[in-house]
Amino acid sequence: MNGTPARWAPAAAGVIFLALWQAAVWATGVPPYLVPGPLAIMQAFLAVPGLMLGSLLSTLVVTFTALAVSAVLGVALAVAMTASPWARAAIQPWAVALQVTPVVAIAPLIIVWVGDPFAALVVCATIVAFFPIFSNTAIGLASPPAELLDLFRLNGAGAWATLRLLRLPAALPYFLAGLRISGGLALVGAVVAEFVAGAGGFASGLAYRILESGYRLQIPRMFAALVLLSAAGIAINAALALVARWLLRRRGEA
Amino acid sequence: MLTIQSAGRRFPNGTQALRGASLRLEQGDFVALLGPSGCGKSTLLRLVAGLDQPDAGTLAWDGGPPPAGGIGYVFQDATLLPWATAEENVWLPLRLRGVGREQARAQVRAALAQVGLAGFEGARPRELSGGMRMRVSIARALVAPPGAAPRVLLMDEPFAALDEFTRHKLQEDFLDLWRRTGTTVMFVTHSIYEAAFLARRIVVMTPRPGRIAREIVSPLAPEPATRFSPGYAALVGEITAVLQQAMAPA
Repeated sequence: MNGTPARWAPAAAGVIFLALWQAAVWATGVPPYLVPGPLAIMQAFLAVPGLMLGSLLSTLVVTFTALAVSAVLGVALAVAMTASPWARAAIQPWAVALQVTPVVAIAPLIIVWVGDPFAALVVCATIVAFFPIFSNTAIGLASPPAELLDLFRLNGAGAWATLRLLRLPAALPYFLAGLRISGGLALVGAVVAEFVAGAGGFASGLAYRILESGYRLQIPRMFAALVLLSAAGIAINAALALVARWLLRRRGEA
Repeated sequence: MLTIQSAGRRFPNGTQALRGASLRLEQGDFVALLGPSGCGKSTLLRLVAGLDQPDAGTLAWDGGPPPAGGIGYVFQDATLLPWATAEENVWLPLRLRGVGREQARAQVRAALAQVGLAGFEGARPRELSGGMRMRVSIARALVAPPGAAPRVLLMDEPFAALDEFTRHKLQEDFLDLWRRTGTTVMFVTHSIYEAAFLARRIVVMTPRPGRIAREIVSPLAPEPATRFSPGYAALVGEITAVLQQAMAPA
C-alpha cells in the first residue's frame, strides 16, 4: 500500500517525541509546575475527566454555533453581493473592516454590549470565522464563465434560476474550502473570546480551564486543556475535509 | 428566415467591430462566417443570437424574433456544467423553460443519440474526451422547448480546440446531422478548410473594421468524400484568393 507510511509516520513521530519528552523530564528532574511530562499531563486529565470533557463540549458548542452562523451569514451576504453592484459596494468594505479588526481588541466591548455570555462568545467567534466563507463563496458565485451565463440568458433564465442552477452549484467547492478554514478560525475565535471574558464569561470552556489552571499553578491540567484544544482543532479540520470530499464525490468531482 | 441590413457594432472602447454587414439567412441554410481574428464574425454571431445589440442597421426575423430557447448556441469550449451528467447538461435548456426531467427525457436521449452518444447519458464531463464533450454541447444546442422550433444553430468555432483527427470526425458527423435534421446553421470559423468542407455559403470577412468582403456559394456536395474531390481544392483556392485580395493594403 502506497499510503501506509504517510498514515503511520505522524503517529510514530508523535510517540517518539512524547517518549523523549518524558525521558528528558525524568533525567533533569524539572518540577511539573514548570514543565510537566506527558504522563503527568495524562494523570491531570484522568483526575477530572468529566470536568475537562465538559469544558471541551462547552467550547465546541460555541465553535459550531459560530461556524453555522458564519456559514449562513457568509453565503447570504455573498449572494446579496452577487445580486447587485449596489449591495457589493455597500457590503465589501465593511466585511474587510470587520476582518482586519483584531477580535481581542473588540471582544471586551462585545462582552459588555451583548448581555448573554454565550451569545457574546458566539459573536466574537463569528467575527473571526465569517470572512473565509464569505469571500470564498463570493468568488465561487462569480466563477461561472461568461459563455455559460450567455447560455442561461439565451434560454430566458432569470436571476433566480441562474443562481440556483449555475452560481450556487459552481460556488460549492469554494464554499467548502472556506468552511474548512473557518472551522479552525471559529475555534480560535471561541478561545480568544473565552480568554477575554475570563470569569465574567461562561466560566466553563477550555480557555477558562487554562486561565484557571494558570492561576492555581496546576500546570499539568493546563497542558491537558491545551492538548484537548489542539485535538479538537485537528478533528474539526479533518471532519470538514471529509464532509467536503463526500459532497464533491457525490457530484463526481474530486 | 433572417435579414441583416447594414449591421454595425462599435464597442465602448472605440473599436469598430463590425460595419455595414448585410446578409440573408434562409431556413435550412448552412452559412460559414470565415475570417481572421478581429473581422467581427463572432460579433455578428452574438448580434444574431440577441446577446448583443447593433448600434447601426437592423436584424429582421421573418415572423418576429425567436422566443427564449429558440436559438441553439455552441461555444468554442463545450461549457458544460461540470457537476451534471451528459443527460442533465442536455436537459438544461429545456429545464430553464420549465420542462421537467421526465417530460424532457425522450427528447434529450434522442439528441444524445443524434450526436452519437447513446449510452453515455450518465457520464460526467470529466469522464468524457474533448470531442465527446463537444458532442454533448451540440446535443444541448439541438433540443428545443415546445413552440421554439424551427431551430437556428449558432456555432462559434466549435471544433477549433480539438485535435485534427477528432475535428475531421466531428465535422463529418455534424454535416451528416445537418442533412438529416434540416437545421439552420450559422458557423463561425477561422479555418478555410473547415468552411469549404461544411458550408453551403461562405461569407468571407476582413478586419479593421470588421466587414463582409464577399459571399461564395459552395458547389460541393455535403458529404465526407468531398474532402478528396478536386472541387474542394479549387474552392479552398478561391476562398484563399478572395481573402488575400481583400486583406491587401489598398
